[in-house]
Amino acid sequence: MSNTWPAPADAAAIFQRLLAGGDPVAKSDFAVAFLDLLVAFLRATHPHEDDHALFTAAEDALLSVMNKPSVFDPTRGTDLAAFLRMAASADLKNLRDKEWRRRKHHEHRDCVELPDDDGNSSAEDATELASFDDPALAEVIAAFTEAERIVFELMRTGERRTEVFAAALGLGNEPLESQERHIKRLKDRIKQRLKRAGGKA
Amino acid sequence: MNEALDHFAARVATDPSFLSHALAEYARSASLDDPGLAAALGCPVTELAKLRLCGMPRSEPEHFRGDVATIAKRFGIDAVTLAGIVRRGQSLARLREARVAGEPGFLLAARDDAREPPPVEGADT
Repeated sequence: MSNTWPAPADAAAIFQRLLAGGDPVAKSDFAVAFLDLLVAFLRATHPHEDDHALFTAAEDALLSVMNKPSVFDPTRGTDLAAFLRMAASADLKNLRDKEWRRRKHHEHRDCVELPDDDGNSSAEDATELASFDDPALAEVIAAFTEAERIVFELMRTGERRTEVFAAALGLGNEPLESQERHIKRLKDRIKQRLKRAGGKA
Repeated sequence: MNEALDHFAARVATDPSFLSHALAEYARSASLDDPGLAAALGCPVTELAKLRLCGMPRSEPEHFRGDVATIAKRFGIDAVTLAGIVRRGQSLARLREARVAGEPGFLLAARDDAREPPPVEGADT
């Protein structure tokens, strides 16, 4: 792998292969050409970030172009390398923001004691407060389908990212809206069953 | 080995648009680690990440063979071997997805039948 950014003509050639489609090696060549350089760029500009975040942000930038090459418009005067650096920086910021929001949410949730509302609490609250020692709950959980069990286990870990649920359910290739709909349906079904079984506990 | 490429290749193992997806299913089913998978494919283990980051060969018969041939040629591996591994990996992935989606039959088949078995015709009781 090279330590220098591909020449604009070389980068354009790889991009054209992605854009044209039908070349199964194009994604690999694109990753080989840019991944290390993007990680090195992010490491230099964000020296305090851990490798996992740097890798993930660089991958996100590459995936955005791999999955939808038209996100990069060469006629706008920006070269592909510059576009990827901007995208990776933005993706790293998004990752940081998402992590910050997740931490704040957990801190907030840990501090708040939900009031007893005679069974009118939301389904989500019911799931979060469920006591799994209850035989009725255990019966409901045992009756989960494979998909429900996967979603339930992820919910218990506090996972909220759609992409993680989608990957675990094998929905990675579906459009985001379809993933969200599918996951929400499963979550709602699980929450309702737990709630009916006394999940408020 | 390249840590960033390995990380990327592992990440896309759940994405059916990458060859990594089929290779992961195949390796899992055959209990192969990376050296084992590389041996099955006939390529150096150092090439695995790049191979995994290739696009999944298109499933239409008119494209599949050509896509496999393109990948095989680039990585110096046998196209027939690669085609067999990809086909098996894709089949396993489809089975897994059907099972996860809760399609009828998969879970039922795995359960014991708690009902009394019907009497066997002609058997003494």
